[in-house]
Amino acid sequence: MTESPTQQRRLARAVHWGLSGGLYLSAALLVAGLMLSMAGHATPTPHHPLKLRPLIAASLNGDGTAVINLGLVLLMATPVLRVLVLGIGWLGEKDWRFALVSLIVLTMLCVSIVWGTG
Amino acid sequence: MDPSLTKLAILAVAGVGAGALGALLGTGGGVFVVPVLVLVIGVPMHQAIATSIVTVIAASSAVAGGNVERGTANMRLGMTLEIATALGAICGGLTAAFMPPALLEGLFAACLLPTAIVMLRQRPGEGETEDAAPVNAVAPDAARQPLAADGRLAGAYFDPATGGWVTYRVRRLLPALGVSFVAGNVSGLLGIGGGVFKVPALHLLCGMPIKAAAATSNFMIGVTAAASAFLYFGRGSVQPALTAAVVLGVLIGAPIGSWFGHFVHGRFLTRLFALLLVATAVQMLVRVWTSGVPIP
Repeated sequence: MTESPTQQRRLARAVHWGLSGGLYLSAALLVAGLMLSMAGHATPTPHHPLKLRPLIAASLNGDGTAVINLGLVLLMATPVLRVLVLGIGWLGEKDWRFALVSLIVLTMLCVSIVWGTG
Repeated sequence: MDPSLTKLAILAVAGVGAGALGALLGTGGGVFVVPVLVLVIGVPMHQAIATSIVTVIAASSAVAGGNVERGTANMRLGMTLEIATALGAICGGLTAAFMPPALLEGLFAACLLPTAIVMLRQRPGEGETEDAAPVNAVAPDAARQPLAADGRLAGAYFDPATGGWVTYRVRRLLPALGVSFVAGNVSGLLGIGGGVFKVPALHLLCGMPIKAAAATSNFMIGVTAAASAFLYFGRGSVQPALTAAVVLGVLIGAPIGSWFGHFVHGRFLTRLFALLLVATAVQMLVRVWTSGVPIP
């Protein structure tokens, strides 16, 4: 099917806002983490910085390194979110071919993340 | 490493410059970050590569939304090529097992130099068609957007530098998929988003105008880099404070570079990109030279 300019703009806006939200939150965490680290509230880098539960717990305790790592994880997740938003958008427009393309890319990204963290 | 405030400030400023150039040229700026980290701050190479990969994501995400809304980034083409890139990134481990990274770098440096010459010699506007009736440069009205040339992957965008809509078709998708595979394959190894391979492929092979090529590459490199970044991050190679400083700088610089890119002519971008290719090739050759692996 052919996508109308309105549909194109709606999808583009969804991608824009999804990215911006993730980036603003990530930047806020990075600034907060750096300030905490400068104030001396930081431990050495945790051995497994991708274990989310301990990372969040340490962040809530005011550990600057953990807050920075949380911000970086959020930053690294924004492209994954972008692929997800586009896939859902194309699915909603019944553009099956490109919804499938997004799904394939998302699957490969997940494989890479699982291999990396496993 | 417990970085001082001075080091963090240097990295943040370097991040602004890398983000601006990376967003302007569609490469993410990783190639500018690595030398600063290694030569100025004294970070070991593998940690510099890990930091560089994360900053590429920052540069990509900071401007991708705007490029998508303006229509310069071709989402469908980007996502299609991303299949090959992600596959290449996953297969990167295999390549690393069979070929030393320095040998790979030597090979790619040998590819980048001729590509730079081809880009410099290319005629301006090749592969693109400007709308016969340019619209007002001040207010690009989406309702007056011309229909993209035929084909699902074709695109159209408003260029403030020329004051008209630019439409283009996408050619030679198969070779571009091959280059995207290679770009994904080496991006994790070399600490770059692969934009130095993607932009020439999109511009020279697919026939996209240089601005659309840079914006589409920018859109793609975030996804490519994310695949490698999680691996580096999981291994603990990313230095949190240093990376945070560069990322914050990149988040400021990337929108500036992207904004600047709308008002410069394609020819200027092509020449600047050719210079970047030469600089990257030299950087790779220096690393090969210092590692002691003979250049093939």
